[in-house]
Amino acid sequence: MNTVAITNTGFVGHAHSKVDGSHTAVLPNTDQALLARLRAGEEKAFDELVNKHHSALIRMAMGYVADREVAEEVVQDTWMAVIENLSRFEGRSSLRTWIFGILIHKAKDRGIREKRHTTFSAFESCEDDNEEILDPSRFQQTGERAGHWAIPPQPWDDQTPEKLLASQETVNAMNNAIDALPRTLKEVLILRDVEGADVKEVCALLNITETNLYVRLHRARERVRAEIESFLGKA
Amino acid sequence: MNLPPELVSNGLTCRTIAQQSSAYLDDALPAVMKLRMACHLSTCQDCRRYVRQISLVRVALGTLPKCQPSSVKRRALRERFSSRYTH
Repeated sequence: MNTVAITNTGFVGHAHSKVDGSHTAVLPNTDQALLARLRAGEEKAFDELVNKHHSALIRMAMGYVADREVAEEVVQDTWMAVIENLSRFEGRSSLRTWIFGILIHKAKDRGIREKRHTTFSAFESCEDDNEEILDPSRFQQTGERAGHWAIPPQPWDDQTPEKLLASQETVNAMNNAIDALPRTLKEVLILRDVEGADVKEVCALLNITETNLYVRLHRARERVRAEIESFLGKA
Repeated sequence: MNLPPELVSNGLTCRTIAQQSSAYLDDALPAVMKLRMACHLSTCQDCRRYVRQISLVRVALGTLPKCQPSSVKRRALRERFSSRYTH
């Protein structure tokens, strides 16, 4: 099970080990600047931190707990823990990794307490990993063209990210697709694409290999793509 | 019989291209595989379309509208932050 201690004793990601076994903190410059403002008590800096990550934290929490209301409580608890422990944050990981580590820890605890999941180990590594990424019927099954498109992607060549996001219906379709993802796919998609975390950061936080990450990430992106395709096909 | 170019160019199927497209877009594939994919994509419009759509989804996800805490929760956080860090 992957847990990240609130006190940041868990070693995640970006620090380097010295010969004597200690670690040097290698915090991104942006994190260093933000951390200094936070520790100086700048409320605006804390607002910026919340504005940046709150939405993704809610989405992540929803993978572990029963409903939105509980997810919001878990995220509020996470922010409170961030406030309490900022002074002890040692910079062994990025601020984001530290905050999401706290969230995962709290959300798992809350999920277990709610008895939604009796064990997490059964869900952690293999959920969906062995299934086809795309619907097999979209590809030729036999003959010289086996493995090539039988039902190619529908053309939406005129779409841009801006056009997609300008339509509330398309945004709803994307949100619905994310909400419907199994947790293991959802957390990878949120960290990598919604939050923009780098691959090594995501792998360290979720304790998965890069190969696992890309299997899950592509499966998740494909489900969102398919939802948009379905929506645009009906529109 | 003349086969379509994507079948004879490098042995990759469209299914493989689709499955590897996220790693391709992240530049996370070995150089040889990346080259084989680029070769396939240069001749297969459907795969080009698919990879472009995944790329578009990737970018759009990063700019989805964000939710914020309720005003009550926000106020509670600010108060806690101020009491902890205002000297």
